[in-house]
Parts: sequence; C-alpha cells; structure tokens
Amino acid sequence: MKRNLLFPALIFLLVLTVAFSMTLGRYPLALSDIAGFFLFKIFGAGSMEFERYNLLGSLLLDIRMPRILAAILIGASLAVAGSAFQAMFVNPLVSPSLLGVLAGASFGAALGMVFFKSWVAVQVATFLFGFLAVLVSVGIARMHKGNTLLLLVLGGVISSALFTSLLSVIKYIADPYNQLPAITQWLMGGLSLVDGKILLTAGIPQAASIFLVCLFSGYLNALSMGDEEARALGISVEWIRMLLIFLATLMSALTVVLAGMIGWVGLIIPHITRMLVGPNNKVVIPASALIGAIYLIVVDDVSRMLFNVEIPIGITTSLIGIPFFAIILRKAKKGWN
Amino acid sequence: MFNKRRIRIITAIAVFLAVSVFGVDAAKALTVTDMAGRKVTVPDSIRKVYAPSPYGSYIMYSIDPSMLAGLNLPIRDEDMKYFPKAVRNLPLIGSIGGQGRTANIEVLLKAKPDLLIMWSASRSAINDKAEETLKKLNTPYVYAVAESLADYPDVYQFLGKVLKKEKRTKQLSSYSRKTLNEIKDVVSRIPAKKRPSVYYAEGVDGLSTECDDSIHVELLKLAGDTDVHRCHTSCHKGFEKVSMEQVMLYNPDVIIAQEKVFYDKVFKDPVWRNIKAVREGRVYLIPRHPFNWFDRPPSFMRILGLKWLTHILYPAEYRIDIIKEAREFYRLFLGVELSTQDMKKILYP
Repeated sequence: MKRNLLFPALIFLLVLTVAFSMTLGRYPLALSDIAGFFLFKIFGAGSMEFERYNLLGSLLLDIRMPRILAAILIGASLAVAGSAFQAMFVNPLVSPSLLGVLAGASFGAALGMVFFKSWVAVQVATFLFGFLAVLVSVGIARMHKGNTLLLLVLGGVISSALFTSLLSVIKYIADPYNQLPAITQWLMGGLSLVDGKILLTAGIPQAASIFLVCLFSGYLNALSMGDEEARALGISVEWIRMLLIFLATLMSALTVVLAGMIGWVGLIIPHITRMLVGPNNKVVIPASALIGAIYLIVVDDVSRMLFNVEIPIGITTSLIGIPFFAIILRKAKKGWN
Repeated sequence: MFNKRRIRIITAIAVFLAVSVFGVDAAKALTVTDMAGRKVTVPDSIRKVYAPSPYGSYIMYSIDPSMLAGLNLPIRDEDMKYFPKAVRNLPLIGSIGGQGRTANIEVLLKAKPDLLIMWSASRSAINDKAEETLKKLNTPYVYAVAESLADYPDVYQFLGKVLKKEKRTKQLSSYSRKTLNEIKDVVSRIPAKKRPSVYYAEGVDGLSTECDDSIHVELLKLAGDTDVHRCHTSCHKGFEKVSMEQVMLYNPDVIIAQEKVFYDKVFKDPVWRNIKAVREGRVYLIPRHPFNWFDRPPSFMRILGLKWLTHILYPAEYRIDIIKEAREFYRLFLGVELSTQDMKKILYP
C-alpha cells in the first residue's frame, strides 16, 4: 500500500467501523432511527416523542458511544505500547505485559475489590499497582550490571510472577460467594463499566501518551538497532528508554482501569501493522494505534452481539487472536527485515 | 528391671483401661441414617462439631454456634455482634473439597470435633475427593442434603436428632415450613399477569445476573417465578454478564440489587432511568448483615429473605411489618435482640 494513501484509508476504515458499531446492539434500532436521532439532536430536524428521544439518547450516547470510545482508546494504547516494546527490546514476541504492568494492575484491582468500598478506590489501586510492578522490574534491572535489555526482561519476569502470586493470595482470601466471582469476571475484561467520567479521566492521559510515543517514534528506530548504534547517533539511550517505558506503562495501566485484563492485542496488532507498512516505527506507531482501535471495536461488537450474555472481551481477543497469530506467524518475520 | 508381677499389674491396668475406654464408647454410641442414606455411628454425647463447608457452617450458626469447633470463613468484624461471645475466638479452619480456604487437616484434628456436618446439594453430588479426605480423619461425619430451600425444615429436624437439640430445631423447622407454605399460598392467588417482572442486579455495574433456574435466584422462583433472565444456568458459580441493552429490552418492573455501589448510583444514572423499575423507584438493596438475605451465600437467611421479597413484590397482597418480622427472625434464628433502629440500619443501609 502506498504510504500517502495508508493513513487516509485507515482513518476512513475507523470512521466506518465506529458508524457501523453504533447500529449494533441487543436493542434493535433501525438505521433510520439513528439517523433521525442525530438529525434531530444536531440540527433540530424532524420530530420525535420525548420518551423515544430519551431512550435513543441513552442507547446511542450513553451506552454505545462510551464503549466504542473506550475500545478505541484501549485498542490504540495496547497496540502502541506493544509496538514500542517490540521495537525497544528488538524482539517480536514481547507484549505490553512484559514489565509486569498488567499483572500489577490486576493485583491492584483485586486488592481494591476485596478491601475498598468505592469503585474509585479500586481504579486508583489498579493504576498504582500497575506502575509499582514496572518499578519493581526496572529496580531489579538497575540493581545489576550488564545487558540492560536482558536484565529488564528478567526483572519483568520476576515482577509479573510476584504480582501474579499476590493476586492468587487475594483470590484465596476473597469471599468465595461474592467477591471472587466479581474479581474473576473483571480479570476476563469487559467494557461494561465504562462511563463518561472515567473515559475522560483515563482517556486524556492515554491519548497524550499515544501522541508522545508517536513523536518519539524516530528514537525507537534508533533503539531497535541496538544501544551502541543509538549512542553513536548521540541519543541518551537510558533516558529515552525510561521515558518510553513510562508512557507505555501509563497507557497500559489505564486500559486495565477501564476494562480489566485484555491480552493479545498488544502482541498481534504490531505484527499485522508491520506486515502492512514495514519496519519503520515512524509509520508503525501511528498505524498500529489506528489498527488496534479498529480491531478492538470489532472484537467488542462480537462480545456484545453474539449471545444474550456478554462474553468477556479478554476471552474474545484471545480466541480470535491466537488462531490468527498461528496463521500469520510464518509471515511475521517479514516486517523485520 | 521389671519383675513379672509388675508387668502383670501393668498389663491388667492397661487392659482395664482399654476396655473401659472402648467398651464405654461402644455402649454409648447410636446409629443414625443420614440424609444421604448412609448409616453412621455417632458418639452419644456430642460436644463439638465442625462443618467443613460454608452451607453447613451457616446452618450451625442458626442451631447453636457455640458447638462449633472452628470457623469455615472469617466473620466480618462488624457482624460479630450477631454472634455469641464463644464464636469470637474460634480458629479459622477452612473447607474440605470446595470453595474458599482449604482446611488444614492438622488444625482440624487439633480442634477435636466429635462429629463433622457435611453438606450436599443432592445425593449424587457427594464429592469423592472430599470423602477421601474425610476417611483419613477418623471422625464420624453425617450428610445434610438440601436440594432447595424447601428441604431446610427437614435438614433442621435431622440435625436436631443427631445433635440432641430437637427442641431448638423444631422451632426453626416449623418457622421455615410455615413461611414456605405462607408464601406459596400468597403467590398462588396472584394471577401470572399481575406479577411484577424482576431483574436481579449483581456486581458494581449491576450488569451481572442469574438465569431463572439458578440456585442463586431460588427466592425469585418461589415468589412468583418472574426473573426476566430466562435461560438454563450452565454453572453453579453463575454471575452472568448481560449488556445494558439487554436490561433495557427486559425492562423489569422491579430490580433487586446486590451491591450498594450500584444501588447508590442507579437512580441518578440517566441510562438506568430508562428502566421502568428505576423510574418508579422500585429498586431494592438486599440486606446483608450478618449474612445476605437473598443469595451469596444462599443460607438459612433466605427464609426471612423470602418474606422480604414477597412483601416487596406484592405489598398489597402480603401485608407484613417487615421490621417486626425481621426482628423476630433474628431473635429466633440468631438469638440476638435488635432494636427497631438497628433493624432499620440493616434493612436500609
């Protein structure tokens, strides 16, 4: 695909997906209903009963819209964090969970659900422990001398394992009748708890981090050549790496705050993106944000539509992602050379 | 060096002791048939029992918590006031084969219960893995079997017989039986069309619920069978996710809410305002102290929960003073005397 056509095409596809998803839901709405509602709301055209107007407003603006926006934010965040990590660690198999952010955030969420009464406290705990887990990995890497990347990976392994076992402790002491099912459900991921307020609180830092990583994507190209070359280009490798890790952690931790654990997106989307656009991170980062957003909207549509009950989105992403990944694995090398 | 005479004396004493211990024991034991149809020899004087499953523990809380050798799940500090002092210092032992914390067998042995009270949802559901553990304990155990709330009167009678507390359990079983019949009677007189539809809102978002045939919503079955979520429950755990749009389609007349976080925001939430129950102010928070009245855990408290629910659904047809009824229930089942003020706090937190 030609470079100058790629972004307009992706943006068009995203708009199309959003528009199409607005029409999807368990509650049957005709396209004419939706069009009528927006015409009435924005231009005051046509007429509508008050009850009907309220119902449509709730369905479209309070239920479907926040979910779609959340899916965009989460999909883009996980994809960008994944792409940045893959470039930074020069390894196509790492994902945003590499440094333990998802394990830490899950532990924080479970801890909050067992010990705190308010949902805001749960969200704060989720966010803080996501960061704490990454700090632990970075701290472990800092303690030793040697290959920084390798030490970071090892630190991440240790930190993830630590917070995963702490999560098990929480699950064990949780009330098996009430808290445990709620924790289990949350860890499977889902967009049902998203509302306008949290969307703003989490969305603004997420969008800002995505934008900043796009700005720094040139440095990622240098980092992916290895530390020596990057230093030779006059880049302060350590500093840039820490900044990028910070941004990736911020956006990933916020995805857990918004919707619990959603795996596989941050691993697969960067691969697909590189297959489409090649290895240049200046293109990969923004393109993966768009593709991740489109992908997660579609996955959430499947979650919402398939049955009377909602399928947790974490399950859907893995079930769609794993076979897909197995198929493209052969081609996945392409984007690296 | 022992001489022969001394050995003889010691042997004689030993034999005498053995005979007296075992002989007495054998003479002072009785055989009962438990609810799973097993013949069990139980000691005649039972001082301490242990119930290694939450359901069994709850039933014991209502019969006589001071007989318990230990707790199965920790009791919240704020709920301790509903228990006799004896319960406060009991060790936390845990469960065998099932949910929550796994029992430490050695702690259990140290607590020396004379009898274990097992619980099963049906004869066929008796858990082999737990059986293996139980056999190692050398402690007699009996099964109480309750497939539904309707079996509670029988469970009370059976346990009363085993624990020699028939006078106490007779009160509990007749109260339970009376309540079940009373509600059946009230509900049967109300035509199906006049029964309000109910949505059971679980989770902080209120978007988890149960299929109508799940044990978790047994009270809804008994109080008119109008759960909006009609499906076959696939697992005991339940807690099925539904979407807001689905709830809007169901548009229930009444919502029974499990979480205070949800209850506090539901009336202000513009989306939930689309639901008939919310618009008409018919959202009710389930009382939960010391145990939930409705579900999670589904315990004996549901006998009172059934009255509460029926009163909510059919205020005109089932006129009761719920505060008075609840105080009476707490007096009878938990042995605590609560003021009207205290009860209001439980009912309307």
